[in-house]
Amino acid sequence: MVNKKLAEWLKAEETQGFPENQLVAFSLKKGFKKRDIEEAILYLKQKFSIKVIFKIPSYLIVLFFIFLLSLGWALGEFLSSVLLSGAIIGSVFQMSYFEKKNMDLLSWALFVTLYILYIFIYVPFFIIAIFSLILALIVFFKNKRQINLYLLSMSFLISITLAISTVLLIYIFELIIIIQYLPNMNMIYLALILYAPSLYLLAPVIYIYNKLALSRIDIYQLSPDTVIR
Amino acid sequence: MYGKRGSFVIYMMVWTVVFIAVITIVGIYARTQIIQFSEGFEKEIAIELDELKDGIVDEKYNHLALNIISENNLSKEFKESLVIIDENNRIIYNVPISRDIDSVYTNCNIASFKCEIHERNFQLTLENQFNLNKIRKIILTKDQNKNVLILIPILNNEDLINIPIPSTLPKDLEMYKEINQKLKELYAESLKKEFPSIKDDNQIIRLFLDGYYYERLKDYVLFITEFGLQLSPLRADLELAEDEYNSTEKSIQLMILEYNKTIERYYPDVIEINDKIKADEQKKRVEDDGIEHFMSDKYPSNFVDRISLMFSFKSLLVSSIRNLGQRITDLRTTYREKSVSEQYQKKDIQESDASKLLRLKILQDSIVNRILNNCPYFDETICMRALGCGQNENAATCMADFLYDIGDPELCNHPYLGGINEFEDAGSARDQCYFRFSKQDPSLCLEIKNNALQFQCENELFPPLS
Repeated sequence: MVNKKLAEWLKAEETQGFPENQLVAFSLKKGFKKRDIEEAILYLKQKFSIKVIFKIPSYLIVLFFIFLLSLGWALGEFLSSVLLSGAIIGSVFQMSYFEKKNMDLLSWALFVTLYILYIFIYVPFFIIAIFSLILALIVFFKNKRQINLYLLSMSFLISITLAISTVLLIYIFELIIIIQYLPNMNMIYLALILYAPSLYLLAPVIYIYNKLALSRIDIYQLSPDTVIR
Repeated sequence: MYGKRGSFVIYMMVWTVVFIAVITIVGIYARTQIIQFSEGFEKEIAIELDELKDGIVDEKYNHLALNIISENNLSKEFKESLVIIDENNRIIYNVPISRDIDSVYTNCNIASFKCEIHERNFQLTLENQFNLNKIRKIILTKDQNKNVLILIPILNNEDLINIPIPSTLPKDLEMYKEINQKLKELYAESLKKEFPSIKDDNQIIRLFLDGYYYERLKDYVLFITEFGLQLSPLRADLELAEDEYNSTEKSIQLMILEYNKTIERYYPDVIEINDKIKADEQKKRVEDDGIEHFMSDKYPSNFVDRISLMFSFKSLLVSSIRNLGQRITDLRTTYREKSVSEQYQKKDIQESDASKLLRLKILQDSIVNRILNNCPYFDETICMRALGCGQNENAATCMADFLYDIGDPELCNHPYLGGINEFEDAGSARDQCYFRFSKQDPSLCLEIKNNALQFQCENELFPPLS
């Protein structure tokens, strides 16, 4: 069980400008157990707030909503894309509120509800969200849970949606510009000329967007012994 | 994966290997599927073609039987049984058909249709009395009260094709000869039709990728369509000619004059209708081919689907299907036009009066059907002009006048009048048509569906006693 009072004290002191190692040393002197201090710090690192979401570059967030709405229009699911945008924005504020009020159970409930909501709004988006969640869980556990899972899942959701939209844009560009100059040919040849390059591009584009989305989240700087030396 | 120098290169190398592996597996699977598809396709086409040929052969054997029956004055009602020789050389046929037979017609001449007539020997079975090894079918009919069997021999395709179509028309009538010759040519060409078979797997793949199988399918569908488009009118013409030949009551010369008059009156309208249909089809085709057409409301509403449609339209499969649709339309147009224009060009050739009468009747019928079938699909202007209708005249009245002008009360019940209601005044035209003809045949008043008009019709013919 996390000592929330200790965690809140550590957070308040950190906000005053005290470095983490000094606060740990001071807490040990005060008689707190090493395990309790570790848990309190981990708890703080997992906290989510509106500020935290802007660790994802803002241009990516803006681009994500533009692409999401455009994709919705292009697929004839504009209303779904508006609902998805609303659900995502609403969940960020709601999640921030629950975290601020230390309502951990409700935070998790909101997290699960959001995914259920995706199923009802637009199933393909749910599939993208599940793929993002799997990647987020991998990174979350690889980094000893020292980061908020919701933030991670959001950053992956943004990067993968952007990657798919970019590839789709390339595909549409191919169709509009290139296809006019192609002679009639077998579906297999057409798929090799038009589908295969787009599919091949998907992997590097996902890589690049992930890199951008996670660039300000300090997951690479964390070493296994960062918390307490 | 992240943050390490060169990790992107490794990531891309792994992805490339996976991608190539997936494409290779898909390619191997596709190859198997293509070979299976081509085998199934060839089998299917061969079966369909054989069925068509069997149908023609069977029809020609029936023609032979009917000609023998007609030549020997036998009853036109008959039963038949195929003669089949099984793997053990046993002869199989419907045995009860050979019981209580008085005489058997055999060794029939396929030109004169005269046969040798033998008494049935009841001590022997049919196959013991006659050599059935070269018999295709057995026909059971009657010669007055006697039961008669006709043994129809197995013939080669060339002999079969030369058997004339049985008809009530005299065999030396020019019109009969013309129809018979056209049918003979059509059947001969269809029996010769073959599609090559490909066995080499690599060649199959290469041809599949080049769209060979789509072209083959297209050829086959066009062949079947063309066969039907040629056969149906010829059969209809023969039937019409037989009816006309057997029911002529007025003087032939007078009827030739009447038909000529109607033909000259309405032939230009048919040409106009044909041109209009052609122009409409051409316009639609040009519109359908434009890229912007894919973006129109006619196609799926969302952008990605519309764009994907452009992708599918570039494929050989879809382009073949679209091309097939256009070719079928072209074929139909060509044969529709040919049916009228060819007959019109021949209308003044030197021939007997009886043949001329049939030729003109067939031509008039084509013209009338062309106008009736197409009027409902046009804007009223062209249709009304064809019917000689003024601007303020009622369309139904004009249609009724046209039908009365043709002089055939059966046309009042044409499918486009009162049946299929594309022509908005169809019901009214139908009733008015019967009203006009009721002056010649009072019973036609009963065919009128509008109560008021029926009452008027009956009152005019049978005025109430005052």
